[in-house]
Amino acid sequence: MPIGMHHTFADPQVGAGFKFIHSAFTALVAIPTLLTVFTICASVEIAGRLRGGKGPFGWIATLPWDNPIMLAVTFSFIMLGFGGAGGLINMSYQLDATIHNTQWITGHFHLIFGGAIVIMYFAIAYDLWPHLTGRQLTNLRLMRTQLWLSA
Amino acid sequence: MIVTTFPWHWVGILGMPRRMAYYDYSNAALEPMALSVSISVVGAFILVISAILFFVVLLEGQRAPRENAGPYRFAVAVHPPIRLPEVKAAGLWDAICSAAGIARKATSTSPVTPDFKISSVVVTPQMLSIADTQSIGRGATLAHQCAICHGPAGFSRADAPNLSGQFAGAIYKQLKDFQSGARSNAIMTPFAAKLTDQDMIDVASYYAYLPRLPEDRAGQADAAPRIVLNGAPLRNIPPCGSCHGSIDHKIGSPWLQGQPAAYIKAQLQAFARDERNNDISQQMRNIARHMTPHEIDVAVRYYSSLSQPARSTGH
Repeated sequence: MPIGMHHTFADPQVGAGFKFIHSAFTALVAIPTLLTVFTICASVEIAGRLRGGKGPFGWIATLPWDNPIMLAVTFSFIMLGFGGAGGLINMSYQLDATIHNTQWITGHFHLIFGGAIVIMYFAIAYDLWPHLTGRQLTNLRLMRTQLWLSA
Repeated sequence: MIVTTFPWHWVGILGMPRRMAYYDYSNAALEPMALSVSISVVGAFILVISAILFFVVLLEGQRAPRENAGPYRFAVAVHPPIRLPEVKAAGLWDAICSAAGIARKATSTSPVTPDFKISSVVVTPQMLSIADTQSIGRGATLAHQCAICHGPAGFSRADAPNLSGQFAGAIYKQLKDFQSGARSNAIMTPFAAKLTDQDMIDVASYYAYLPRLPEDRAGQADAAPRIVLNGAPLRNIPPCGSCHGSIDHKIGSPWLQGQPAAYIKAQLQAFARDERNNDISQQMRNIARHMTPHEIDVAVRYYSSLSQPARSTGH
């Protein structure tokens, strides 16, 4: 889907019609993102209830919080949520004028990429590393500390 | 990362441009941004610690003994892998075109004719739906020749189908098929050969007019099994009951409740082996081929269980 012009909403050389189309297409990116977040959260809730969690929030307590990957996914989604909310302002053809070319953009990008995505890189690295080196990573506490600091 | 980026958003709203090499926070107008930027810097240091810890975790792992970690779980197939049959490009192209609804030239080869006779009976919803009393009377006379197998009151004691209360359309269709040769049977084929079209309508109307097995016997029967109530959707088997009674009836298909076990089983096996092929559009052959022997037994037991009391009391 062509969305690249959401970087150039303030550029006078780009036609307003193209800007509008790219703005609308950028908004559509929210749909697959929400579907992904919803399905993963629903899977996690099912797992939590299978572990005996009850009530509207009781299942959260039963999740495997000592597992660093669980922690990483949670942090990733929290940061993705905030980053996505900020992204709605970048995406909007009108609201973008307020924050165009400011530190907001830096903040948004680093929250999404440096936060939501890189924290999953960490989790994947912890998962994959033992298969590459043949040596188990046993210090789960240090991994959790690292992920807390990263989030 | 939250500590770093949230203040960035804030100073962005306050108007701080991107990519600033130098910013004079002693300026009164820029002073409110100083605290936010400082928090960002603290966040950045936290991230540096986090990055160092990441390498610490990995390096610490190097002290552990080397062992086989097993296959990587995301590389293991969740479902058993399927080898697709080799697909010809032309066939694939045809499939894509037909899926996309693109009209293609009709094939020039003539359609394949089967090496057996197919049923030529036109089954319609209105077929034999109005019973004519004269026809029923004539049918009663004609039915004397059927009684030796199908029973004087339509309840067979010879493992032939019970015809009492059977749908007229179902009986008529089978008689037509016996006559045309679409279905063949050493006993029924000669009987049907002599019948006129009106004779068949009369016999069918007569048996349809006779009462079925009493309804209360249905209560004594076993609970309907899965194959009767649900079929097997993954193997494209609809529920038996959706055409043959107990859920619904579709025109042309016989009412099966109370039919002899040996008869139902023989017919299912004949359909499965293509020995009987007068079913419309291969419906029953496609179903019977995919039924397991156990499902056949269960369905037969369920439908035939209703006939036992009737046979012992000697209708």
